[in-house]
Amino acid sequence: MLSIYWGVTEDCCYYIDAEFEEIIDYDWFNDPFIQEILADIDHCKIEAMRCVDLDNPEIKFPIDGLSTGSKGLILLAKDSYDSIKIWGTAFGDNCAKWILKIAEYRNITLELEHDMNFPSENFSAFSVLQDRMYKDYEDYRYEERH
Amino acid sequence: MVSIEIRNRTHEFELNFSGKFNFLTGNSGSYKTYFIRLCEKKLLGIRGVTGTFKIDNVTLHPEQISVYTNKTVMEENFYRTALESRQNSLFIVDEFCTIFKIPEVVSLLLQSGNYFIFANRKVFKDLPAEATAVYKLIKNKKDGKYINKSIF
Repeated sequence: MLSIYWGVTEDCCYYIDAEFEEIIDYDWFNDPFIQEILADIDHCKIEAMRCVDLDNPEIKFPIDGLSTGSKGLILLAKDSYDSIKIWGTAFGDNCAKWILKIAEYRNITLELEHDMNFPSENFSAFSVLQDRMYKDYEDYRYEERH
Repeated sequence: MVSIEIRNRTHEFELNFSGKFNFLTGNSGSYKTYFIRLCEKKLLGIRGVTGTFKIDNVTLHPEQISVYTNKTVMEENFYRTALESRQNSLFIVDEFCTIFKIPEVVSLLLQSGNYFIFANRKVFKDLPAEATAVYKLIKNKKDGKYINKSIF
């Protein structure tokens, strides 16, 4: 389930790049779901433990060069945890649909310090502030504005 | 007005910022951190990276530019001294820099006579609106250069 919290708590997974660097398991990149995320967010694929641009294969960069959004999504999908609080402001809006997908089977609390847009049709989340599920996406938007 | 032109063999950025406090936002994977790392490499004198940094059309000397990346971990006094001891300098700061953890970061910024580019979706609401500009980084389809576009 996805929960939304406004602000940052002390036990939030905040330094996502550094966390990713320490827990990374290179087998994760064999997962088609992870490959789909990388193609969508960073427009790249993994070859011989390097990222290769999908448009221009001449452009190669290390896995460390992946966006923080991709690293955060991989961490959410593959790391071991029962529930996790993560700094949602590290994620661009293009990560929102992936967060919703991962939250279908994992317990994620997004700690937000910015107005994040989600796809309205698939939106389902719990408001930590109101201690209840949002009725719909508009309900989330209303809370965000106030 | 802050202008930055910077390039390496694969990527080129031409960015213009109108505010004193400028925020680069946008999607994940839009090359915000890449841009900041490129700026850092330019300051380090890495040969494959060329470009210029200007404020009001005047080219800045390297000592007028500071780049704080996601791996910059300094104590509050370091940032305070850096910001207070300089004027009309440029600070380029990525989102996980520990400067954002300073409780009084906004008052520190307000007292500073410098220009800032933050790669951060958290736009400080307490900064004066007339001095704050928010952009997203996009790739120009015509020539492949990265440019910034105001989100308002």
